Amino acid sequence: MRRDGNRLDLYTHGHAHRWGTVYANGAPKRLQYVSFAAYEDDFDALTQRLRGAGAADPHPLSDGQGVWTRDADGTPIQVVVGPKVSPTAKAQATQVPAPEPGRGAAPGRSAAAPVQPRRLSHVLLFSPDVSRQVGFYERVLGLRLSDRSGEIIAFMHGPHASDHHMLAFAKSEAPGLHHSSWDVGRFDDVGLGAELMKAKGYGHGWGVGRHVVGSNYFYYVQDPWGSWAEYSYDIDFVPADVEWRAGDHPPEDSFYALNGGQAIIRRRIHFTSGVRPSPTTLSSIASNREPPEGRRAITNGRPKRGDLRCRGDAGANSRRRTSMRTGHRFTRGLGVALCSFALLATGAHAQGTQAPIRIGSTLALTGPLAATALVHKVVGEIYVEQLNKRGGLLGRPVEWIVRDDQSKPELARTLYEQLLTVDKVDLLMGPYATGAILSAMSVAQRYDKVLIHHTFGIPSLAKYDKQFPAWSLGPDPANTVPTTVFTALAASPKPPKTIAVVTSKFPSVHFMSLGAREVAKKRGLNEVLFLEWDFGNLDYGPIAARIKDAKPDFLWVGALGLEGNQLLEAMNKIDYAPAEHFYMYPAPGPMSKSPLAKNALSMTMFEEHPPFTNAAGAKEFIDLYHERAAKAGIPDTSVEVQAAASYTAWQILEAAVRGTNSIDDAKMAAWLKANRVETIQGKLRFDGPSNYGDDLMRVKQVQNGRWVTVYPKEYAAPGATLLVQ
Amino acid sequence: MTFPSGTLLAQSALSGVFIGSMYGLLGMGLGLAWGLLHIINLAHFGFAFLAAYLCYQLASVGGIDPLLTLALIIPLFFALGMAVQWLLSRFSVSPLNSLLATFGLTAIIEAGIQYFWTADFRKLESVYSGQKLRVGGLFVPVPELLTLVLALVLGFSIWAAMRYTNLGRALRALAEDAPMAAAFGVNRRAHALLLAGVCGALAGIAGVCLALSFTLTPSQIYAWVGVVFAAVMLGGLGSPLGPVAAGMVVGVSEAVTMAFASPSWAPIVSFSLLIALLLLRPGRT
Repeated sequence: MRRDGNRLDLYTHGHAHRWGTVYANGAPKRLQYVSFAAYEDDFDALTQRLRGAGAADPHPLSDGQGVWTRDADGTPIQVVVGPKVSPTAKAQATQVPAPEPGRGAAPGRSAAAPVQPRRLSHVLLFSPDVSRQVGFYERVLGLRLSDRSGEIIAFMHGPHASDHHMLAFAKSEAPGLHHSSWDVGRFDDVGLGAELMKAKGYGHGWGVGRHVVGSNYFYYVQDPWGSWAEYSYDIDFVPADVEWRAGDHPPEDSFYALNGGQAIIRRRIHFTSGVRPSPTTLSSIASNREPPEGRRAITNGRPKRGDLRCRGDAGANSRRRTSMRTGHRFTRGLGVALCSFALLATGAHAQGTQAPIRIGSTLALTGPLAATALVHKVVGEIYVEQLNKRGGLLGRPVEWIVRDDQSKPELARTLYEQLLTVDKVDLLMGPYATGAILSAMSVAQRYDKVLIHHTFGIPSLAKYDKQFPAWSLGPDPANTVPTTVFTALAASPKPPKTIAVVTSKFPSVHFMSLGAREVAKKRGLNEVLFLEWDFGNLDYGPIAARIKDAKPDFLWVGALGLEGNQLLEAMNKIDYAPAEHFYMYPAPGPMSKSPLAKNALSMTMFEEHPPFTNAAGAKEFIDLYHERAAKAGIPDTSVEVQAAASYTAWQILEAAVRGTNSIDDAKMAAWLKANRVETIQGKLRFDGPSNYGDDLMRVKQVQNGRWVTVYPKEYAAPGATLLVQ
Repeated sequence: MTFPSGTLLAQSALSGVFIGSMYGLLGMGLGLAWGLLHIINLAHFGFAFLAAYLCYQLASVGGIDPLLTLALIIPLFFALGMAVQWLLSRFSVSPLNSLLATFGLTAIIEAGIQYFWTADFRKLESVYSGQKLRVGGLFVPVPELLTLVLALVLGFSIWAAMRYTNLGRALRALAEDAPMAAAFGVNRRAHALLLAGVCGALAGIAGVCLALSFTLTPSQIYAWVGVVFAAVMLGGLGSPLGPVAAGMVVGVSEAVTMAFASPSWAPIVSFSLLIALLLLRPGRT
């Protein structure tokens, strides 16, 4: 790898040839041209054929030599006279001296030899019409078909001996570069390469496995621009004097999963870019594309289920590798032998020179809401970091700008205005909490921006059509949430007959408490007490005394954060513990840790136990969050509703950008209304009133110092049921 | 509205007495500095919370009995109080500007607390926290009782000192007519520093009481400002016992309102009472 101004030249160890070049231009990556070398003897005849196919001007980024044409997909092709750099014999494995007798063969991890690719083996290009491309390269450049899988993928080798394929095509909507494949000398190097890439922050890859077509062992890693690079070992070789019998392979038989079939399904490379993947997409080669002129593309590295049938037992008996027929001499054909490529990409030095996509938000980093806002800060940082490791958005890095709104909605309004007019951010992310979100929403509306927010608690106030909630309350939570709670209680061992509703007048809990009164009345519960207090109340003694006096079977507490704990303490001071009690919204950590909160109920959309933890990406996020939250000094590092809602909001934003291939607010909003988004909470939709979808609130309970979901049963922690005293 | 039971009413009133003594303890140092030094020290609240967090740290992490932390907190906050007074007099800050300067100091303290202890809730779990006495049908929580006793003892001691010692007379003379007191040989700066130190120590003691009874979070600093100011103004500037008595009037009136009616009416009742008392108070200026 050598850097020269705004270009990166790709070399391999022990080889002087420059295999490829990446040029920076600030736009999404796009394949510029492919260069082939031919023997001098063949050159004149090839020139004739190229001219016959339609001469083209040399590409401005090239050396300008040789003859030029465009292939069937319009990609510029250069043919020059030059030395053959594709192999003339089967590539030999790197020789590792045998260990002394009595010593092990594997070196220590630290002593493992560095992975050094030896040469470019092949490139795989996207094509809207694979057969048309095969026809072109056979006819004009004299390449030969090695194997194919219907119209999905085709592999071609050179007539003067080459790897099983030096050029291959995969079906997609538009032409482009899918991957470049780099030959390494040992099977170990494939795995070590994967490990190296992960260690360097390029964790998104596929493998290790073995292809049936070409027989090579592989690991793919995604580069910062969305294309892939393959570590390849032991690919089949097609000698010049041998006829390779081309086969047509069923896609599902196309590779072995050497790391276990299940893992392959999860980690499978999938590269759709806003277009629906073709259902027949071949496993490793999905429908990445580079867009036609004037359109922007991104590659999406996120795995998607359903379009790959992977069988871990794709065994030797299902391989249909054709035998080489020696003895049948092939006439020395006309053709090209060298393959190099140039790629115009988003940045010469990873993402360094590329203008980032800037996402602006405020958070209550100081003031009364700071404790919870810190959760959102940590989650946002984790998400943006992961996003950038995956290559960012639209091939651009992502930068998150966070301002401190000091828990003041009016300050949030000013800061959002500033983010749009002064900082000129591309996208917005919502603040914390309801009051500030409402402020941000009005600014977003004025500038016609999409606003995705984590924790907006009053759906009826969300009037703006380009706002999207991650807090899955449904459009009518004052009815649906209490209904869920009372249904859970009715199914408990001791269904309550009397209820006390005590509530702060804080807006997002107050309307829920009023809803709880209505629902309780409808369900025939006898209300023995109803109390309201102003947010910021200091003396909970009298409230506790009145609850004790009323002796309800069930206590509904509308209390924000600290208030729930304060009420519990006040009740304890007069020696009273409620039988069944529900809090909305408590400070989750302090409440679960408080010995007074035994069996306390609350609502949740996510807790750290199955089935929630089975969601894609959930485990990875939980581990990272534990680490970062501890570092940030958050006492309770478990992922629950707040952290999960925060993560969800970012997932929605990413899905909208990837889904539309753009950061155009109108397009993103339209896409979100028309599509469902897979998140760690579940599948979300935004087509209901106020863009709210389903009420995903479930009932959780403090049991043994931690929150566990207890209702409904399909979301309950393994073995957990609602406990009553 | 049904008439609440006697136990409920008594328990509520007791709760009001306790919260009132907390108002009074916080207001004592504030009122003394205000009345005698003409300094409106908003940082008093910041100091109290800083002391509360220190007490939390020493007790829950260091394993020290929270009451023993007073041995460290009292001298420390005495020194802090003096330091602030020295700075304010060094720059000849006027009473109104002292409000602004100490408000800024409070914000700094809040940020410092948030930096060290984060904005999350902290609750001191000590041997005292769960303890309660049962008197008749009523429950008396020990930490709150401690606050009440401290407020009364400190209030009476300072009242006595002000009234019966030369030091107290000198302080009162300074407040009334500083140049004349100086002419009689009273060292103004030394006395002011001493009094500010006492106020700082009172903030420290109030902080320990806060840590014993309440869950802490930095922004709670401001939750106390309004009602404690009310207690100080109602009780009289420069009076050590006034804020305690006034705090209890506010606390009990709120608590009884909560017992009778909706808790959200409590501030309306207590602040209406405050206005009425300020208007009708004898000797008002």
